[in-house]
Amino acid sequence: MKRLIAAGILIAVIAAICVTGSLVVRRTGERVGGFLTQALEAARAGDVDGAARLARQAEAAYMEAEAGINGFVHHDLVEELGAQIARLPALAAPDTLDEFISEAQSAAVMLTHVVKDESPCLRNVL
Amino acid sequence: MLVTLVRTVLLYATVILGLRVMGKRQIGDMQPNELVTTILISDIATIPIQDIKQPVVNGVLAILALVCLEVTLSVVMLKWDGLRRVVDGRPTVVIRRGKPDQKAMRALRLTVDDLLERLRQQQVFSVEDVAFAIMETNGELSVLLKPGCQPATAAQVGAAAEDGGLPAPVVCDGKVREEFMAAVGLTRRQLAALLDEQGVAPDELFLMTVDGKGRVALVRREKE
Repeated sequence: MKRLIAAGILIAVIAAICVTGSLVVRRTGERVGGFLTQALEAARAGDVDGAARLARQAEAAYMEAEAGINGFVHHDLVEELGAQIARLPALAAPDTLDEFISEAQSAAVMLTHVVKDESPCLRNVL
Repeated sequence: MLVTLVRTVLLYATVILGLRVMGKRQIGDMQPNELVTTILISDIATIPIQDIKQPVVNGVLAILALVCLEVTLSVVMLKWDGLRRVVDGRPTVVIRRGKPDQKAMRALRLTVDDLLERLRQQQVFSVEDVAFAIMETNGELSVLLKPGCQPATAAQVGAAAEDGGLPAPVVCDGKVREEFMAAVGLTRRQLAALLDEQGVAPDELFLMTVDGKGRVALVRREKE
């Protein structure tokens, strides 16, 4: 009976860790992804300053969340995504706007994959 | 480097916790499901230790999940005999009245050499001496010798065998173990009297055992 209780406690701990992990990654994805989408829209509209500001916000938001998602996502992926987002503010200039759009899109897609990988769906399980 | 050390300590603690929750079993006594869980746990634990880019939570989570599955499965198997038979299998008789059951041996993929080796490990050197040999679900071979081949017991030879019970280690490495004193009904005063009788103090002893009949065995501590 004691072991069963211990197993029950462990199941609760496991569930808490899983839910926390999913929430942390999803929130980071929504927050940083939101800035990236807005930065992309601004860049497509030709608003270079707006794109640069939003890219900086995306970078700051990602830096803030990095420690949290490091606990649940492979560190290589976290670092790669961080490096890609960190490149964006420097690319937000009139002559490199196409490159900015390409990089921001790539970062947004990668972020979406990171978030989707954490969702408990059959595709991920298999 | 320090990260690896901390991760190793964390995973070590998790594995120990997991094995404690699973319960104690000797490696050789493991049932198939317990063996699988133990192998998986040890394998999973090495991944986050070797790859510091892998979140340690992934390893801890997988280990704890396996432990929970194992405990749950063992509890369900305790209640449900059918599942136990599916997971652990059934003991199989491989020798009946001195004759190896070849069909059972084929089913177990047990060669004659394997069988003879297992018998020798049980101090049995002739198949004919065996009344029954049973291959247990954990892979152990249990052997029942024919009545004429079994060693004679004290009762059979009419020798008086005194049952002194289990000798309790009341002093271990110079320390008095009160939890064992209660097992043989020994009080502190009685222990002091026994020590006085032997002319030793507890800290001079490496081991002192007392059985239910009050028989004392002493091993003095060697000087370093």
